[in-house]
Amino acid sequence: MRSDPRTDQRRAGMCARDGPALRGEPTVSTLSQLLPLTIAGIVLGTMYALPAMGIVLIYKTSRVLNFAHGAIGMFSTFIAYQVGIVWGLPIWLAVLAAVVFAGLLGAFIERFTIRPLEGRPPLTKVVVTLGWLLLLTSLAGFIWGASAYHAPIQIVPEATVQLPGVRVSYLQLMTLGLASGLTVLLALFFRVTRLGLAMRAVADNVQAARILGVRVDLVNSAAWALGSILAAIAGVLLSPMITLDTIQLTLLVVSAFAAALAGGLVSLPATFAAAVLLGVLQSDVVIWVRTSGAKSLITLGIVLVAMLWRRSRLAEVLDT
Amino acid sequence: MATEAMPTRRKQTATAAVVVAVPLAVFLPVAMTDFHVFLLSQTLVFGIALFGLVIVAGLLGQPSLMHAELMGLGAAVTATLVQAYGWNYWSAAIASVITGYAAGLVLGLPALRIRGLALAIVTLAIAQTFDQLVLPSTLLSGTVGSRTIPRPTLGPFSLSSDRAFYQVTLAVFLAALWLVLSIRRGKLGRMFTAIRESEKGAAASGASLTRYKLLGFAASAGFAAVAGALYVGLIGSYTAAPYDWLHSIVMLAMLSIMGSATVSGSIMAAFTIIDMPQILQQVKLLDQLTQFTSGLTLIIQTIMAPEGAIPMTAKSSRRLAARVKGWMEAAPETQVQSEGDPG
Repeated sequence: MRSDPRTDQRRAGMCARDGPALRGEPTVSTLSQLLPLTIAGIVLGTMYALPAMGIVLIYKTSRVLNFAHGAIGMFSTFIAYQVGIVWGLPIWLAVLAAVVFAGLLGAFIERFTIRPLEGRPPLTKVVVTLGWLLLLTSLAGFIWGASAYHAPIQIVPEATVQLPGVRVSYLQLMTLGLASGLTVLLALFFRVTRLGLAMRAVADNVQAARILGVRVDLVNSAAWALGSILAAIAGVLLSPMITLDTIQLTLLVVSAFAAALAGGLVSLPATFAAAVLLGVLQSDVVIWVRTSGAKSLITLGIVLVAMLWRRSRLAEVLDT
Repeated sequence: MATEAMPTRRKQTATAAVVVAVPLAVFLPVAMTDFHVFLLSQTLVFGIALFGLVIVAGLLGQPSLMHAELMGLGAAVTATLVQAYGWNYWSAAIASVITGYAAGLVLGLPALRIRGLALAIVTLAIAQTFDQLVLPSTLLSGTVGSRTIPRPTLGPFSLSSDRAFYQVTLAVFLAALWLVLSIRRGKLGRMFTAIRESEKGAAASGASLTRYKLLGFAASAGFAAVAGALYVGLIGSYTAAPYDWLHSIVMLAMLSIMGSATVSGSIMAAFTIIDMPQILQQVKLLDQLTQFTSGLTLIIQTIMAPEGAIPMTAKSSRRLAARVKGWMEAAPETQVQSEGDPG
């Protein structure tokens, strides 16, 4: 009865599921499955890393903890679904649509619902992002059906390749490559481009940046757009690995928060490492514990450890 | 103490409200269909749960995103004891409230070390763990999914009709209302508010943060468990679905919309959550409609009127009264000028 977490999931209906139940998860997991599970975990971890870095980026520039981050990624993924699956247009166009939509949505949220709150307590801004979470999740439910089946967005063909000792899918390889590539690009973006430099300036000292002529408002909008795009890419890449519905991708925000907190909400490399660690732990735990809920316990554990371990770094968030 | 300090005028209003509202609530079902009585009971149950949220989020200022799960815990414990162990409904309900209170004490522990926004993340992670590990657990309910729970009897009375169960719900609701009002007016409420306004200040004036924070979480979870136990009795079965994290967010959202520190706000929030989708005749989309409306309202409200609808209405009606008074005193030709001065 407990052998297939996916049946349980359907049975639970609207009930939340965390850490996406990986598709093709072996029914019997033993230690021999450690390597393939770890690889799946690394891939999952990089998918946590993208939205987690988005959360850090948004937090560093605009000082808002974005609870709607997963919901933004989810909604953008469904835009790709609409374009690529429902309308049957080419997949690259679907991905492009999702990315453009996410950028616009992020900038819209910042411009019209976060900027008017300047000077208000941080908790007020968080309440607004909770509002967006509810709004986007329910809107997606209206349009695409909350518990209906949705075909995943396949960017690469569903095939596997034999590497020494382990079989990996093209999807895993592509995801890993794309996520690492994006992370490197993001690091370069902050070092090389003017906008990246401006974002770092705003993150360090808003007043000084403003005096030096940085257009803080524009930088904030750009950060929200970029952060949202990262969530959208993660959502699209994750869709073939999980059950594509309105809830699971929205819940991605919890794992992303865990990684972002472990990175002290400042460090992108630490966030990336923590995300991969979280993915691997969530993936490998099925060897020892069969309950699908064990994954959420790991997320909770990482959140608590990160909070206590990074206390001084997180002082600003903790004290508001 | 605080009750004695209450102005006579306000006391009179309160007495009048009790004299009018309570008999009205008792006899209301006479004029209603069974279905509407059922809805009204549901509303009262959610009102009780939201009283708990008023304590922890409104008075104590801790953003808790796990309140629906705490209600679910009460529901699950009651259902398990009745179904798997053959307990009497009332003893099961009392046991579930004790369990809820204890769970509140334990789950309040992170709040001693972690404050503000970070606590919202922790409670969300706890909520997620509850959704997946605790509430659907086979250990807890013996079976996955629902099993019916017969409506209890109370002494010689059978509560199998919706109307009879409504009266019980109403009695519990009134008791909970009295309790939450006296907590708010009493020493406990003042301590909670002091901690919300400034933890350092409260600690400096001798309040034990540990004691009052844990008390706040425990009391809040206690209210939630009462609501959960009643809900199981009302619905007649237990499933994990109504107690998931989205409902927690909806509860907090609705309460913030109405005014998170107001008891009347919690009752209005319960009405909105349960009855608004019904009024709009969209029962099929109940969940999504509630989420959509509360999300949209929350965003607009936070920007336009952050203090919440009830304080805002009170403020603007006072302002209106002042303006009307001003008009009546002012000469007719100065009317236009007085409009620019809201007082």
